[in-house]
Amino acid sequence: MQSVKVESVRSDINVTPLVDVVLVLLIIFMVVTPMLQKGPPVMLPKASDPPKKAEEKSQILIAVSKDKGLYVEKDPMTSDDMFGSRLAEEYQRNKNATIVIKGDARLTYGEVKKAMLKVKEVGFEQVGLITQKQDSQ
Amino acid sequence: MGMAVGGGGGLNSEINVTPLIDVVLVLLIIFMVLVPLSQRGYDIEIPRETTEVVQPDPDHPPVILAINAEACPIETGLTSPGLPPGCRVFLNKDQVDVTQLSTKITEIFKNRKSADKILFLAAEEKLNYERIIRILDVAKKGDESLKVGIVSDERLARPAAAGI
Repeated sequence: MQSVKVESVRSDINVTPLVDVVLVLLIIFMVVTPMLQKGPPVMLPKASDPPKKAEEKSQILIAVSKDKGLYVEKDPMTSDDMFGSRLAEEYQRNKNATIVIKGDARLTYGEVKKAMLKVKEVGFEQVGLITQKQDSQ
Repeated sequence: MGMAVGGGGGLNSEINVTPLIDVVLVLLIIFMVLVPLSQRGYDIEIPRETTEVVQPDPDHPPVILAINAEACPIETGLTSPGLPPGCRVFLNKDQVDVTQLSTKITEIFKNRKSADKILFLAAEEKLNYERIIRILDVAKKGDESLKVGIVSDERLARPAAAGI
């Protein structure tokens, strides 16, 4: 069987660029996943084995930074009144929203409690305290 | 140019990358799904204040976990993982060493219905937040379905001084 090939036509798809792109995406996700944090940078408290909490669409993030600054989502709150009215606004929009608080590990309990009580004042009934898993050593 | 090569079984010199792509794509999907799940934390109940008087159940009185600086000096942040030795907390009136806390919690809550499994946390405000979370973590180990509520009155953090 002598086949005469003239500039032989290749019938398979060239997958090399696809593999390149997918591998790069994979590496990006692998690198980004452990250091992913929403909102302002906060040193989260570490606990030995905190339960996983699925991130919900309706989740409202409150952050308390090291210098006691309050944030709702990414917006810094300049005063307690502003914080309160912003929360009230969110409560009007969605009464069943989940509130999560990211408090800096170096804060005192009182600072975080203040934020929790404010959340309660507005009408929400549950907050989540976000923590980090302690790296095993 | 047509360098005619004899077909004869058609020796394929390329690496078969299809299995590699399969594996890589699956890994990619796993990571993409895991990203939103990477959040961890504790739920805290902050029930709305009601004017109606709730009659406390005599069989299942509320349990308050009180943490104060006298029994457990944790005002400063951590330098080492874990809790300082000799840190004691209060479960209602009883002083409990933090290492015994989870067994004590298991004991108290094992006969309760899940609706009654609420631990009220009363901690002094000057204490370090991360350390409080650590203690909460220990308490949670005692009972997986334990719910945590916060007490706004700071005086309850010192059961001896508050006279309860």
